[in-house]
Amino acid sequence: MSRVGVITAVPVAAAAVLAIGLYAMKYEVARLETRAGQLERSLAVQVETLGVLQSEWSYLNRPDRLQTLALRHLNLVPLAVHKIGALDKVPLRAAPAVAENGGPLSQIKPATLSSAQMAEVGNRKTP
Amino acid sequence: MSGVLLMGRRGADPAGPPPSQRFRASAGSDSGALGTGHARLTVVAIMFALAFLIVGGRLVNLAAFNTDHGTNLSAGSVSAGQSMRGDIVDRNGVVLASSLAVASLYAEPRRIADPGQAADALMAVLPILNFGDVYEKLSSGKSFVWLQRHLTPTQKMDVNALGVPGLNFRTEQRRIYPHGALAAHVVGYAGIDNHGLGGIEQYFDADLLGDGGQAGALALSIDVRAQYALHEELALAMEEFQAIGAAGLVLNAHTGEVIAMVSLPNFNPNQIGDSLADGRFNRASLGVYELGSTLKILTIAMALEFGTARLDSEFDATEPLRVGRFVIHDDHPESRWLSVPEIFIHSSNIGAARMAMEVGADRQQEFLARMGLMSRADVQLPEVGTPIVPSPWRDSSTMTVAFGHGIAVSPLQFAGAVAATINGGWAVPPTLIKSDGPVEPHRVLSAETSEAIRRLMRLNVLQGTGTLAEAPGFLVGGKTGTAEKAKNGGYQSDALVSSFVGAFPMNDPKYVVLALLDEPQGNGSTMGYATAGWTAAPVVSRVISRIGPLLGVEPVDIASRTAQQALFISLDGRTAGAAF
Repeated sequence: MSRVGVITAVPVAAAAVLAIGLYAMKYEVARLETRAGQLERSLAVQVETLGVLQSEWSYLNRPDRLQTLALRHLNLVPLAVHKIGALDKVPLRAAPAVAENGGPLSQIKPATLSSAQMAEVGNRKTP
Repeated sequence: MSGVLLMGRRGADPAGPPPSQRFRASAGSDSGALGTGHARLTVVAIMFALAFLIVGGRLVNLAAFNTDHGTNLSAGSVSAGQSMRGDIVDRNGVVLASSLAVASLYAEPRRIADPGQAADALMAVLPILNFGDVYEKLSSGKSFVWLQRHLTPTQKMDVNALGVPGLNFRTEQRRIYPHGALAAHVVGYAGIDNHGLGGIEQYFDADLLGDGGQAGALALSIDVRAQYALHEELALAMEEFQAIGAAGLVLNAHTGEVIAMVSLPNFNPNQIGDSLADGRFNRASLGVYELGSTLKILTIAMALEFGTARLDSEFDATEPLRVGRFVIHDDHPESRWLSVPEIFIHSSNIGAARMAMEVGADRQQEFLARMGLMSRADVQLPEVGTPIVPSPWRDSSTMTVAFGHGIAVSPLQFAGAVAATINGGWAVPPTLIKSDGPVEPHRVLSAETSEAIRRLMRLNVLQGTGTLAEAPGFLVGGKTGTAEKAKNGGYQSDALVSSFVGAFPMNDPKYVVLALLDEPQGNGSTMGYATAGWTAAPVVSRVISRIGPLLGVEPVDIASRTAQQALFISLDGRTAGAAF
């Protein structure tokens, strides 16, 4: 191939490759932009929905409404002070009771907690 | 691309110029023209190569290294679509105020062909509109008029279904308050144009309008559950004693956080147009009241702090105290010398006045200023009352201020002062924003004085005027205050402000609770008394019983020796294991 031919062919080939590349990239970008737009719109809708739902949730959790519903449907009473206590005030069963006649109760093991379990329970905050 | 090719070819094969010119040029010197062409071609080729290099380099750069530019773009557009006024939530994240996108209906009258028909059609779907109004607006020939703001989705659909050209919607924000009137005075309200017009909404207007959505919700110090308990108990008491108003506060004694703040009557911020001025008035922060004997807490703290009295000091309360043309009486005269604890639990005005006189007017003013009662409280609300203090401050002022007359302060700032008195002596300016307390805590009282006051307040609930404030398990302490309202230069005995300020648990106070009733009337259950011990103290008792477990305060066994010892004080002022 002559020198002129080479000088012509190389730019032509390069131009063709670049043109195809750019074309592909342009469409790829357009596609991604559409996708980004869709996601943004969807996100905006979700955020708005979330706000509405949070307000709704807050509205449904009005203390006076909950109180009315609890009185109507639940067999519960407000927490009395004497029912709140510290764990160390709870007497755990001491030594296993020796049944005199060796009845079925003597087979039951007393509930005891390991010291690690005790520490864990003790760390819990009283509600 | 094609340009490059064409030019390149034109340079290589000089066929571009018109034939006549070329002929003449070649006639001159053929090799010269060829050389010129070649040089031009080289220059052009180099320039294009450079241009391609730059473009290519930029492409590589964009593709490979600069990735954040794209993400920035997308994040920016999201925030642009979501410039909603920020939410307000309570300390546990419960939504107190939020914004919804709603449609507002407007018309372009110029585009409306038949205003009468359009107005008719609109009336069918929006009966709240007034036909005359709408007709006038539609036939005005303007380019824009609002017809109805904030439609419901159904209404919007109905209007759309009419298909009248010239009617359009604009998406607007609507502020909603899911808890309605419950925390109305704290949260405040925003107007139709989305600007805060009261409460937190107004104080933080700029922040909420700004990037509120981005920065997250504004978390208040309020706990909705405690707010509800206080609200309900105050409303019940107000009804029971036919009071014209009520105010209440729950304050964290160590951080100054306002856990609950209620002012009754209140208003529904969702329908601000229907509210009355009296309902919008915040009695807890804007109202200033002569609080009466509750101020004796501060008088005694002051005397102990300046060393003019000790717990076992005695003061002469045998006879009414005459000062100028005033005579200071005791409501329940003991007519004898009283120790400091006795002055407190019998609520002796004479004793308190004598204590204050020994401290002196200057030190009294300095002390009250230190406790934050001489100036407007610095709290995050636009509605904050300025205290009314005696001017000039005479000796008679010193005496009356000692038992809470002649000085009017807001319940909010008074609760803050009491918190500082009992928490070990640390200043805690009340705040409505969730926080960990003052950034630079400073002391306003000694720990010893604070401890003495705690014992006195507990004693008053055990054997004084505050017995009805006791809530089993929570070691309540407090002080009653019954003041006659000032009117026309005098005091009226039938218009009282009855208040009780308490704290719990008194061995290590965590919360201050204040209840105030405006003009309560006695009834059968109180044997006709409208005084604080009968009306306000029971409210505090019930509020503490309800919120104590909610706020995680561990009940104390009332019979426990350590609890009793920690709070013991005898009537002659002896304490068990105390500094005094």
